[in-house]
Amino acid sequence: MRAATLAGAGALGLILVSQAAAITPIPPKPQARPLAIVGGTVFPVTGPPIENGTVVIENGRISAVTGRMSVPADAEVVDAKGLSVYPGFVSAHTVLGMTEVGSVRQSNDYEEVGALNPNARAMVVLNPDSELLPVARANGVLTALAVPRGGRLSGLSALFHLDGWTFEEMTILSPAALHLQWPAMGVNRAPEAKPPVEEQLAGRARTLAELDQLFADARAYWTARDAATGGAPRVEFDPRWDAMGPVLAGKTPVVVHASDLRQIRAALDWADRQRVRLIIAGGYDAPEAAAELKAREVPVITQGLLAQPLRDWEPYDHAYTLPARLLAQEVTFCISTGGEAANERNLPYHAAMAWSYGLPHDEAMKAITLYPAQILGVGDRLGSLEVGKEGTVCLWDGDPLDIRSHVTRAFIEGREIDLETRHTRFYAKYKDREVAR
Amino acid sequence: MFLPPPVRLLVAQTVVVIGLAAAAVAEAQAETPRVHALTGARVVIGPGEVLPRGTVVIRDGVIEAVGADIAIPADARVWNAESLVVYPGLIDPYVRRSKLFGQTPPPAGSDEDFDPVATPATGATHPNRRVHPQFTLSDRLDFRADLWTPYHALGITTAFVVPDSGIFRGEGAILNLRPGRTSEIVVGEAPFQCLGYDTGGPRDGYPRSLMGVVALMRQTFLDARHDREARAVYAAYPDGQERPLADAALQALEPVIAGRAPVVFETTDVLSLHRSWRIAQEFGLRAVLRGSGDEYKRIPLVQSANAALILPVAFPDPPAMETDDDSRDVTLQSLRAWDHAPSNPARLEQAGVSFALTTDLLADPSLFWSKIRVAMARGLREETVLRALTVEPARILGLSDRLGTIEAGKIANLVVADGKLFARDTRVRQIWVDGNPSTLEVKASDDARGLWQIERLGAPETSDDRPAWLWIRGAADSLTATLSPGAASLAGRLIADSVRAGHDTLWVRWPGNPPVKPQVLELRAGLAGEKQGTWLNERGEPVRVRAVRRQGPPAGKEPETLPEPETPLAVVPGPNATPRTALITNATLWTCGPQGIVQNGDLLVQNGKIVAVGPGLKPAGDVLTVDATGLSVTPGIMDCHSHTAGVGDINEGTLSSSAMVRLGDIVNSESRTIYEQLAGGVTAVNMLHGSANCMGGQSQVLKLRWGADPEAMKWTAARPGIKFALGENVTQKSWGDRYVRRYPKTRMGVEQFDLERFSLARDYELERREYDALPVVARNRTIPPRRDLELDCLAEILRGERDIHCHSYRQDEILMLMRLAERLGFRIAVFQHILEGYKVADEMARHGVGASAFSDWWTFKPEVYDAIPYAGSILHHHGVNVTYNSDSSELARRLNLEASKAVKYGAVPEIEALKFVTTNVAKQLGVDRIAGTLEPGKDADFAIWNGSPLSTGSICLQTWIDGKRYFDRKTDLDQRPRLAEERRTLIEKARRWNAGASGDGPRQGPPQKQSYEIGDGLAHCMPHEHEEVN
Repeated sequence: MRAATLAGAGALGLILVSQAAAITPIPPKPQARPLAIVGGTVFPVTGPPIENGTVVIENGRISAVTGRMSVPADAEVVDAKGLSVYPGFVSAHTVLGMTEVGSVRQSNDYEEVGALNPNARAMVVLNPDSELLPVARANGVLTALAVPRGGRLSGLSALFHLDGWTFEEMTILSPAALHLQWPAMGVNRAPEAKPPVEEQLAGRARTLAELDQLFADARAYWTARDAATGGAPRVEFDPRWDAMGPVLAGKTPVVVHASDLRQIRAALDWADRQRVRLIIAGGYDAPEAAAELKAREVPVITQGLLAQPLRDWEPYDHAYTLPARLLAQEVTFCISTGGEAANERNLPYHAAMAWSYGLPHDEAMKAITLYPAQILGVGDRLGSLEVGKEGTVCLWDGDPLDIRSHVTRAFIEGREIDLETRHTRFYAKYKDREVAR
Repeated sequence: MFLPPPVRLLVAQTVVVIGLAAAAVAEAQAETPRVHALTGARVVIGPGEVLPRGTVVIRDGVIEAVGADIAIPADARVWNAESLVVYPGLIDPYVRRSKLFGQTPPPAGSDEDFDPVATPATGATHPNRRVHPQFTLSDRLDFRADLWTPYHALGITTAFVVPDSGIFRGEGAILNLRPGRTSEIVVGEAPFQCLGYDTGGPRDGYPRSLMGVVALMRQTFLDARHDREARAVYAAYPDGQERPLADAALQALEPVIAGRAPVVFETTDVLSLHRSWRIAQEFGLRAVLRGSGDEYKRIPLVQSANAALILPVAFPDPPAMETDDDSRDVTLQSLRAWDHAPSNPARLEQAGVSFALTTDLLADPSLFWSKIRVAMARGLREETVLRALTVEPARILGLSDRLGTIEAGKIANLVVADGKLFARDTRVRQIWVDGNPSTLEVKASDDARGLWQIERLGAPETSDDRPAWLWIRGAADSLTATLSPGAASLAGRLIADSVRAGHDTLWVRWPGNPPVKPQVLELRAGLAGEKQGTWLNERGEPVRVRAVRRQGPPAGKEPETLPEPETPLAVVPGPNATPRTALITNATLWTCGPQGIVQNGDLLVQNGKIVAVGPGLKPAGDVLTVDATGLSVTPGIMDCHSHTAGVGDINEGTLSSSAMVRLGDIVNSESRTIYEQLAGGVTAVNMLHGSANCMGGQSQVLKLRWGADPEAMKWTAARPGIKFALGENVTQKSWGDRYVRRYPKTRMGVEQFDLERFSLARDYELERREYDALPVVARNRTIPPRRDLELDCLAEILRGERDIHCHSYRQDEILMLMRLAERLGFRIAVFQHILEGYKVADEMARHGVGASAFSDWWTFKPEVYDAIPYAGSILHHHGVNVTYNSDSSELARRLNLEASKAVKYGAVPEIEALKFVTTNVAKQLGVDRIAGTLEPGKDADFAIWNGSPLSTGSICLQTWIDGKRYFDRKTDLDQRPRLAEERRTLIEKARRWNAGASGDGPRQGPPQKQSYEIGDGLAHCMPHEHEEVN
């Protein structure tokens, strides 16, 4: 029975994926001609809006952002009259590209077995033909971080463009970060607690010690490896420790997934000891650790803003106000959906809710463009309309934070992408269907 | 020798000291004359009636006489009870069997060790293994005498003992707590049927939800009624009709249905109490309700339940919080529950509710008095306590003529105490049950601290020995002892160098200083009572001594420190403005009616209704005016698919049809999500069963009247509804490999299952009609058709009286159900989710079904891979009445923004999109004539926004229902500091208590497990194994 069930489900998964493969939009060719987007209101994000501005993109990079009409002679002109020009959104926490149908196990590739997978790379499972990618980008999500989850060290995330033929073409940065699921820190103090309080405390201490040990082991591996290049005995290759090299060298940050204050504080202490670059993801309680976060310049990727309060003594809008409270305390942050895929397109509405509940509009925009780019180490390349940055741009017919607005055209590194999706195709097919009478 | 009166009792010429050892009464009984006279005692005849000094005469187990000045019969044994107090024996009206009889194997028909999926109970009984009303506890007693000692120590002489498990648990037994054969100790004949809400485990089959338990209870009472009628008819006219079932369970319920035997409901919270009362009313039952301790939350519900009430005093311990971090995990709700629970009995007393008290739910019954003292410190009167343990339980148990007071002719159950009952230092010295005395060992305590009087044993009365005084002080684990001079033969003032106290020993050593030898005092027997031992004096000579404690351990060990007055609630749920007339002025009114959007308009509300809409309204009289300049007003948001505010599972799910269950039975008026949704402009929700089976349960439409009780939240004007489901969930496609046995397993089977149930319902309806149409004579000779709650519900659908809201995704299943309904002659009212509805929009429009959809969810499982956010627009443009719903207590808070997705995807005009979450929902719920738009005559249910309701930048500022303001953001913001202060106060208070009660203080321990929790809305949103909601 079991085999039959699995086989059935497997076949279904295959059908879905192959259907998808046949019909997603064709990736455009690399930008050949300069592109000039003219006549729209340009929102560079880093500066005030420019009415009737021009954005010129050459060889995939922005070569001009100006209030003057300055179009290179051979440029293709994009008329943005009445439109707003924004950088594409940067999704800082998704499983886009790693899943197709939530309940179909065969289509999910974001969670490896076991606790320690520092070497699991999100990049290699990115499915360019996922139907979910066009849906996300049709609402302005042009860049996303694909994040492995589960276990303790979940793996290495990849920052990618939602366009390309292969994962190699799509990937911008890999590894973007190592993802660590911080252990739960709460203690059930009830006398009848099981396991007893002492055991809980011991267990917690053991887990934390193991985390330190893990990094000490990786460091020992790299010490020996570096020594081997200087003539010491050869070191046997260990894919796990090997993958942690850039993290130990401080090149790649560690994203610690932690929401509770105790987790955040413990993670800060741990990062001090381990001298790693720390990013907190989740950060529900982060405003209460604001001083420590700010002093150490540790940024927070918020998630789950569209949530009920976790605790019954918190106000009804507690999750909505998280970004505003972080801003008030000068903690660096960005806004993410927290691991969405199917509805990653709604990223701007997470930011919008923060706006509704106290975050200034321009900060809400930065929180899904410039800030995630900066936090993920690509602030020089993405997240705003500035000369030298990627020509990854969306034209909007209104405020991107307003649900009623639409993306009318979108460009990734100057290539105009097709905004057709599985949804628009079904819409076109069925919207005028009538039964013969 | 100094011997204080309280420990001296004389029997004829012999001194009998109560407290030294338990007398072996039982064995001697047969030969000993059973005539006794207790003399010289203060006699508490009953609550409020006291003889300061009186005599009680007992003959053969019965009180023969009581009075101040009565003759002592010549044949009586005389018990000198000078300085003692005699009370009526206390009655505990709810003691579970396991407490008195230990854990014994469950009776046949109980709920362990079976595979419930398909196996019915065996024997001529009810097929459901949790229905065993025929079980009689008195048939199966295996008394363990050691288990009743704690009850004796509390003065409890009689207990109503109840079976522990099941739904129809069986008959309890009223027992006098003494040794003897069962036939000797059973008191009273009234068979009390005991009911509880056991939902069973994952393998126990139907019912698994609270709704299911209620449905099963109701069906069983109906069946019992039917069984009685059927057997009566059959007995007279057996010819030509099928014989009724021989069902022992239904027959056992006959006295209950006839109103002869009361039922005792074991309730789990105050809503459960109310629920039980409603069941009792429906079937005309004589109900006794065992409360749960949170009655104070809704005293009017308790008052309206005109049933006998048995109250537990198992007040919760404060949450454990050692560090500030720990307090983060502590809910305000649990702090409040701890703080308020001890006031429960007093508040009920003040509200005029009478009740009995029980030890039930206390992990350790011996904490009973200390809990009662806590309640007394919160205002419960002593007389009420005595009443609640004597007269009231006697009344409840129908034994007022035999028990509860010390009056001639009553059963000789007495308590002899050395002081006022329930006082901290009072101990029960003797218990009389059926006229048989049993003397108690005073309960030992591990705490040796206090002042001890030490005196030499065997010294002549004339001796000039004076007692020595021994102080034991310090922390429990580091005691110090100081001896003050007494008798010449004892030492002078000395400070001990070693003190050890055990359960029943005390050992103290004082250092020697040659030639003075070290002195050692060694005492045995209970520390709390008198004890004897040896003194090794300064000359090394052993002296026999007796020690009596004259002062107890320092205060702070008992929860007497707790009854600080309760902390007032910072916010009491309910509307924050209830004007008779209100005027909202100068707003943008999204009327959703013929007036469209009115700019700079006024909205006039009176007595809960909208009376005028338009500019420049000027009402007379007392008006609450809200200046809404720059603001928008919309009809209240309605959520057509909600699982908010249910108690327990919202899926019965164990059967493919659970059409008999009703969401209305589990409305959780205490859930905080109600308030959170008000803060999102929501005024009404359609509370639906889950989608785990083809035919779910009957829905309940609620208006979110925060603070109201469940009945007052129900929107009775709404059309009755039921949740149906199709597709992956009902065929258990992703429930794992074990779930492959239930029919149906495919969409083919779903069609046939639905067809079959409806066919049954049609036949059922016909059979009922045929019976009703019989001439009277024939009808009297015919066994009436059995009522079936499931088929009743399906018949309502067939008659067009109940609307189907069907969970659906794929176009094939959508078409199938419409065609099936057409074939059966009715219409489907609403397809829920309906993600592929856009593919058959025309067919839907022709069928006349509504669509209630997710705006943009897709690809979370195979059957939603084709879902598109344009679906709402396509359906709308094909003439289908479309709504967007939440299916989530979180998403429900921003349904206005869901509506704006209809504008984004498919360009639905804004006012039409807003109707997706207001007017159109009213249509789907059948309340469009009275609500859903801003028009004169409609219910004044509306929300005020600080901008366009379809803009993400806008938030809800106020939410009004029936012309009352239930949410006001300004009030909410103002209340936040007070709430924070309340929490801070409670945490500090709990910490103080925790500190005081550490060590051996009487913590209550883990409370008796309760199946449900109300009040915490968040918990109900957590997904359950196989809880299919979308």
